Amino acid sequence: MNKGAKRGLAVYAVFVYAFLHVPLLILAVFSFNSSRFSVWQGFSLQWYRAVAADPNLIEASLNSLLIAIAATVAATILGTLAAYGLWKRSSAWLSGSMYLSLVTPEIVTGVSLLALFQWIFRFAHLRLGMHTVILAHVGFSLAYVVVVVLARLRGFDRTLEEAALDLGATEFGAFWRVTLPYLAPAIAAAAMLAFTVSIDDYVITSLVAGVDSQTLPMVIYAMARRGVNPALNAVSTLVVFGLGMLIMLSERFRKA
Amino acid sequence: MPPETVLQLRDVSKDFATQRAVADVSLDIPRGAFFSLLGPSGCGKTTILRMIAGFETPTSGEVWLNGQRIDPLPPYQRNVNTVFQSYALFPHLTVQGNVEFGLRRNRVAEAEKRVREVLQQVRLEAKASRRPSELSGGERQRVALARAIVLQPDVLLLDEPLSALDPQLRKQVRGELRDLQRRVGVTFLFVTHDQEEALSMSDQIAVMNAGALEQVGTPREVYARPRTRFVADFLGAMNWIDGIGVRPEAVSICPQGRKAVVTGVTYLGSFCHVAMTLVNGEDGGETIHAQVASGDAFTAGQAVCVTWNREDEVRV
Amino acid sequence: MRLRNAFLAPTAILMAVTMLAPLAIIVVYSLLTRGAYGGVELPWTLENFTRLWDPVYGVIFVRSFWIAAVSTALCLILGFPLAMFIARSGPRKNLYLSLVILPFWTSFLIRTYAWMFLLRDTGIVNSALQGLGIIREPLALLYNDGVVILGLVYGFLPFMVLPLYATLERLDPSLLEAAADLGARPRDTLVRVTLPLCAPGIRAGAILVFVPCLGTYLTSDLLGGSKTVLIGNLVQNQFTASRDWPFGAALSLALMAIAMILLFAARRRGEELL
Repeated sequence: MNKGAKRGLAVYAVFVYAFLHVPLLILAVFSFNSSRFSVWQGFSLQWYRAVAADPNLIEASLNSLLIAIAATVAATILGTLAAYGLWKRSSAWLSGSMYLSLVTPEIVTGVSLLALFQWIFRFAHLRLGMHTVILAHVGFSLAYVVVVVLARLRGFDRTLEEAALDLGATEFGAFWRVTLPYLAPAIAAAAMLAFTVSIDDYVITSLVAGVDSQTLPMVIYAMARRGVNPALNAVSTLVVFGLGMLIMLSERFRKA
Repeated sequence: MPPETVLQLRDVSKDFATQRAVADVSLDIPRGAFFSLLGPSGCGKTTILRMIAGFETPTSGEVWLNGQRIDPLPPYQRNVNTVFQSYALFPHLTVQGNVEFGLRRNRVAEAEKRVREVLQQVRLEAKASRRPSELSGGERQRVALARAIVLQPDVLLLDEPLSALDPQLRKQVRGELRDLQRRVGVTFLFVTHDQEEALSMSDQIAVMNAGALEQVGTPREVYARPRTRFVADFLGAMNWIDGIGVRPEAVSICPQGRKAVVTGVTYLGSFCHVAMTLVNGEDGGETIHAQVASGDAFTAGQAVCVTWNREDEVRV
Repeated sequence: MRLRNAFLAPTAILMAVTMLAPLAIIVVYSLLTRGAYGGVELPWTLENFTRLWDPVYGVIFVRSFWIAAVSTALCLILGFPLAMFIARSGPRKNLYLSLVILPFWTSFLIRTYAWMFLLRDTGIVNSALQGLGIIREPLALLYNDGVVILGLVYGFLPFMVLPLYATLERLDPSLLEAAADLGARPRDTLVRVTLPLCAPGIRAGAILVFVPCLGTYLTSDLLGGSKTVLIGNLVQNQFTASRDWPFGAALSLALMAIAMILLFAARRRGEELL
């Protein structure tokens, strides 16, 4: 490839990167604006103070964190075990339902879960709430965890486990002491993926949440629909920054 | 440029970030020759090939093809073609598609007929609709050859084309390659690190070391009359006695001559290798090897005499 | 083997509860009649599926297809050169690649909101244009098909770049040299060698972008407003405002069927999309 084409490609890449990153950067910059309009009037932290003073936002954030942590822990553990089971011997219907889960549009997943819950509630005295949200989140995160862990298992040398068995380990011992340590990086990555997918979800959550289980994306959505509100810029910046920190930490953890 | 020269390198050098890969190489390649570039890996021979093909630009110097300076041209404007070490066959095209690849652009009349002819020459006409993944190593190599010679290049560049084949096949392909070159009459510039390959196939050999040209000559010249110690050693085993080189096959063990003691005998099938230590005079302690038809008469510790003809001596 | 079954059991139960049971309910609902106060009633009927052919909904399906197709094409146009740039940038590959993946890890909702913030009537683009005296009245940048496509491209571009990068990265550079050696100009090499060899990556990327775009709800809801109703919004509407669950169920099944057909059509032997 000649120099001109190379330079052209680099310029093109700069524009695409700008398209990907500049909107969020502008959003972050304007979260520090002292005016409530889209004209820069000077630096201010007032919107962050407004966020900190909003009990609605605080409660929704705590709900979101609780749901994401619970769903991540459950989905990561169960998904890892399932990936291992599927690696030992595949199961057409289980792989099929994972595949289905990944390709089903969120809105369809949401309404079908809602339909199921409503149907169950005809017979049981239950309501939509944190438990239904957590169940839904575990459900849609599972497939992600299985895919990530299974990808790593495909590169695993089966004879290592056989060697462990040969040296006297039990089947579970071989899994625990040989396979699981090998899977650690993939499990960490899968947990990160499950966490971000869970904490970001609006579409499914909004359909299966009850009055006591408002999540942060639901509040953000409501604020966005209502119109101009610089406090939303501040919330957005905090969320993006928080997720960014989490990813960097997990990268460092993975490399160590 | 003399009329019989098809490709000429004039003081070509190539610097990479940390080292000089090629240093002031000048070469004249005669039209129609089977010309080998021989040297150890990393000596710059592949870099020279890539500069001729146009994948690398010389840091200084010029490359001339048929009286035209080509080093500023992109690869697709040079009438040279390459047989890659890995063959680089297009996996999404059939054998036919690979061979037609270069013709399509040039809209050569009777392209179809030419493709058929060339496939016949490399004995692949029956496999024209196969994909490269369905071919054996030897067949792939022949597709790579066919794809290049169908374009009738002024020079065909071959980058260690036999190294991917198994040793059995390699020897057979040597002969085939040589015959093919004679038949089609295209100039071959053949890069190899295998001196046997170079000696058995070439009209001329250029020996390279550490980016520089050591010697250019016929196989007989570079083997029997090496001009540097490197060339002498690289082309085959050599005894160095008092700064004079003698090949083991020129050393004979006979009743009269220099005294030596046998230190080991190695049986190698069609011949035997006898290792000895010289014992007389100033040569005391030097090791000398001889290649003899039969080693039955020798055992370690035995006292013998060695001799050789003066015309077999090599002075560098 | 007993260990394997014990490991699979909880996930099997969970998938049955959160994936298969809801799907079964949807199938059943799609064959029932709409209840007087929402919900569903007997008798069984196929009417919900025959209603799908009503041109009112046909327009929505066509529009959804159109928007998803344009978004996918734009992702390819933006993503292919970018993937090529990353694959050829040597030691900085990983840095450039993570710059593509990074937005994928940040909130989709917030990234959609960022465009609302930029493009609304009092948003920064209109303010800037007014401030510069280029326009007097704010331009209506939000709530049209174009901005929905923009939001989708913005959201799903990483899904296109990653598989493209993976195939370009594996592409043997000597094949490109061989093409040039055989007389192909850079453009010919692109058309005759690079693109055909990237076909699996292009197919995977196109499916990974097209399928979620077709079923999108959030992007069209926030950026398209009430003007851009797509299949996803129609589904959501049946389960909330319209309270016509059987028809919503039939729509959901139609959407899933289309997605599955596309996935199977795009699959080649020996290739795994996921």
